[in-house]
Amino acid sequence: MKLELEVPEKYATAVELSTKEWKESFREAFLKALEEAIEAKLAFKSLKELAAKSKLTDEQVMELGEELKERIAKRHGLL
Amino acid sequence: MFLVVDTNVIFAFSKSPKVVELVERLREAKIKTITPQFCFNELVNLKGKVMRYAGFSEEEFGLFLREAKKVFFVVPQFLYEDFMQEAKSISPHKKDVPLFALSLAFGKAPIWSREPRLRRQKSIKVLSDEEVEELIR
Repeated sequence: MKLELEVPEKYATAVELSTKEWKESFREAFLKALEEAIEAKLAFKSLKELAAKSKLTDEQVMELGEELKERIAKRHGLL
Repeated sequence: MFLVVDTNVIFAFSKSPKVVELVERLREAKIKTITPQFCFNELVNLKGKVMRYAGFSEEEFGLFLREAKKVFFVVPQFLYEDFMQEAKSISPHKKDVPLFALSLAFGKAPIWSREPRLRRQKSIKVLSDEEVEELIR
C-alpha cells in the first residue's frame, strides 16, 4: 500500500520542516490513529463476548447503577 | 457531539451485546460518550457484587473494566465543577448532580439514561436506548 500526502504550502513554510520530517510526522500520526482504531475494535469485540455471557438482569442493572451513582455523588461531596 | 452516560447504561453495557454495539456505532459517528470523574474508581468497589450478579470471574471483571475505560471518556471534575450549583437546581436528586453538571459543562449535552426520575426536569434532554439509536440512524 502506498500513501501520498501533500502538505499545504502555508503549513510547510510556517513550520519549516523538511520533507523527511513531514513524512515522519505523518507516519507517526497515521500509526497512532491506526493503533487506536485497532485497539477500539478489539475492545468492542471483547466487550460483546463478555456481555453475551453476562447473567445480569434489568433490575440488577438499575440497582448497581443507583449504587454506583450514589458513590460518585459522595466523592463529589453531595451526600 | 457529546453524550453523557448514566451509570445504569454502564451496567447495561456489561449485560447486552446490543448496547455495546450501539456504543460502537456512536463512536463511529464521532459522538463522544462521557462520564463523571470517579465512575470507574467506584466501579472497582462494586466488584464483588458485579461478579456475583453477572457471573463474571475476577479475570472477566478486570477485562470489562479495562476495555470499558477505552470506550467511555472519564471527564475530570475540574472541567464541570463550575456547573455544580446550577446542576443542583435542576437535578431531580442529589445523586444525579454530577451528570447534570457534566451535561451543562458540555453545552447541555443530552444524558443517556434508563432512569425515569431524570425526566422530571425539562432543562436537559434525557434519552432512552431507542432515542440514542435514533441519533445515529
